[in-house]
Amino acid sequence: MISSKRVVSLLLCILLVVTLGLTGCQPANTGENTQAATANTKPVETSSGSQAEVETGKGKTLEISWFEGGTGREYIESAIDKYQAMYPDLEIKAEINPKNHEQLRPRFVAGDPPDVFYANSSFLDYFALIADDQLLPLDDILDSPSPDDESVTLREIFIPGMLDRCSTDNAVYALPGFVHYYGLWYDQNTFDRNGWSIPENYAEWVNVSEQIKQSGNMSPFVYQGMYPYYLLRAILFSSACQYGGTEVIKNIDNLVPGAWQDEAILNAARDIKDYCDKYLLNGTLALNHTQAQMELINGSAAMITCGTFLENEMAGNWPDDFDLKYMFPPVNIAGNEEKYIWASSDFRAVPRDAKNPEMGKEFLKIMYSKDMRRVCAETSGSVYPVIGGAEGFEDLLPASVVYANSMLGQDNVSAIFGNYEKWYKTIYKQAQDSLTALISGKYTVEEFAESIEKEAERVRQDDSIIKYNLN
Amino acid sequence: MNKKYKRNIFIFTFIVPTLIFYLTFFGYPILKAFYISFFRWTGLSNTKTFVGFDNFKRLFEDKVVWKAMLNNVTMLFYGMIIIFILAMFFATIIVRKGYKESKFYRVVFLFPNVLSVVVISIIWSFIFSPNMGIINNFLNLIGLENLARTWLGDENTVLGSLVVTQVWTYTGFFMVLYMSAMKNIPKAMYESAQIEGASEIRQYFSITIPLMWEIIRTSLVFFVARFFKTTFPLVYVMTGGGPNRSSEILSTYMYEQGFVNSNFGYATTIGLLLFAVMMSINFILQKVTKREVYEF
Repeated sequence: MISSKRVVSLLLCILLVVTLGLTGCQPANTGENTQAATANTKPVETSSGSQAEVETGKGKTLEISWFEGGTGREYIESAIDKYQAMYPDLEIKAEINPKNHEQLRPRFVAGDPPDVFYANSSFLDYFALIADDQLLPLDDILDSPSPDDESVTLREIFIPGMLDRCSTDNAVYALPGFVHYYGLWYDQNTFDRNGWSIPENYAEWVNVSEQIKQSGNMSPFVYQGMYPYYLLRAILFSSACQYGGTEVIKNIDNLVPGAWQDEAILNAARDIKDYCDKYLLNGTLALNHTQAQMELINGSAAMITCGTFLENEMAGNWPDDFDLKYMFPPVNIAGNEEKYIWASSDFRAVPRDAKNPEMGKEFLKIMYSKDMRRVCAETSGSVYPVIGGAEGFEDLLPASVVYANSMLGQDNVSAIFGNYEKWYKTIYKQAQDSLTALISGKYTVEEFAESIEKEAERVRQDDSIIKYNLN
Repeated sequence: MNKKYKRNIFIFTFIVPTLIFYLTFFGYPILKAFYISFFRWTGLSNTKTFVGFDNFKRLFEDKVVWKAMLNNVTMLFYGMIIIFILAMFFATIIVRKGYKESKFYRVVFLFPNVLSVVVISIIWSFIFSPNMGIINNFLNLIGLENLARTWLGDENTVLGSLVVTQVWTYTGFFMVLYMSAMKNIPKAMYESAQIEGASEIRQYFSITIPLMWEIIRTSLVFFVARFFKTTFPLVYVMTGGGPNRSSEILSTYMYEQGFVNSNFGYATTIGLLLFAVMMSINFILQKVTKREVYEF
């Protein structure tokens, strides 16, 4: 006679085994392909195997580890299908999930990394990888013909300056993936309905904000209070470069003494502080990015700082009559025609200990071909930082993204980026904390600059922190 | 002799697997952490650079570490006292008054304990939300707008708000613990005290609390352990350590140093400090609350 206790205990054991078994299973990573693959690239030259084997990838494995974020997984699955069609006998193993950095870290420590990867750089420090000599320089693939036009090299198709993002010692260690442009975002319909004009400069921005405030229905401005880097990227640095040129950011990146106390930074900080004192939505400092962005959608705030991922990120929440538009960060210098847009991007790289690095590099290259970029535009609403990156995809991309991209095509508009965010993370953190203190009223403008400069000085003096230089 | 040998084998068989498990997954990592704290390591390769006591020196000079520790201790102190008082209060009322609905209250109060800390953190983030949240909207409704605050965005109220969330989460668990301890006290004790003329309050402090004391002591250990385990997701999700590090705690700073700044050596040093703080607090609590155990 089997007692009920035994039955229960047996069932629990079966449940345990089944659960363990199921967690060990992985979903298949070959996705649906929407595009026919065009195999127009030369086969990879390898030292072993006959030419026929090289051309089909026989006996070779390509291991890919890819971050699955807001841009989804369809574009990477398409790229894998395309590459598989180029090398039918190649065994491709792909790990695509939002937590791939957790798997990558121990693999790097164990000396067994995949052949090509993309991890969220907030969770995996690419520059620490470079410092530990874990990444391969990609200059050889950059100097090879580009995927669509053999007369130009891969290097030449990128928007100038974008390859500096992950370079050091005159070598490029990662290729920039999706690029996002930062600025102000608003609803054109709301502005039209109320007769509010789109500001061209700071004075007009203050003017229209006053009108918005007087209307009593909404606050003029909100930002992602818990993440002050939105404000740094979208407004502060754009303004600072307007005052002092791109030298301002270059000096910060190069740890030049006093860089953070430059007049340009102080002026930009003063502008944003004065503005927020009057026009910032109450309680902004406690808002995370979702909450702040919902305030824009709900009509509690008229303008928000964000990147071109905004429309996609909040997909499903936008009311039908919301016409999301991009606005340049306002300039406080009369007659200054130069405009600066912060452009950030992710990084894709090939580990030094990869077993099949040549194919890893080639895989990276094919992702910049037009057909692959079309899939990206179609499925993820994102573009690559190549010249004319959004051209031909206007019908596929969100309208807000097309507009922001077209701005960069104008002569007086330049892309800016601060490498210090990746090189000197403690300075980046201090800048954010000090900005919060400035907005909350705890710090004056001078104290804001001084506190960051103090951290910059500490980093300068600390020999254990590797120093980078961009010329 | 044979019996004693068999008994020892029996005990041994049960202890050894657990001991091996404990040594592998707890003992070894602690020793390794101690070892790593003498190195500079990015955690992204096998290259470790020996730096001696540099990490420990940095720890003592790092203002953020001391601020974080102060925040840890403040939250622990206030949280513990408030939870203890509330849990004892509710347990006393429910047990002593013998409500028929006591089972219902047990479930309702224990329910927050079942939710994951991350879920609770997200829910309370919205409750504390300055514009969409229920607290400020309720205050506006009853005409107390001047009391409305940016609860999680103001350096003066952020720690208090986090303590409120913890109190909501854990009061139920401790209430249920104390309820079962109270129920174990024989009614005869109270009856004889009543005959002797002792008031309810006198009975409470002279019978209930002393006879529950061992349970209360154990619950303090639970509390400290839970607190240190769960404040990380709480702070990480609700405030990120902000504004301007006013809600930074040792575990969030440790995470930042290790996983964001790629300073695993320094992060493990902070971890060792956290370990030392936890052990010290437990030790002090156990020493201070030591009393003669009453058998009943």
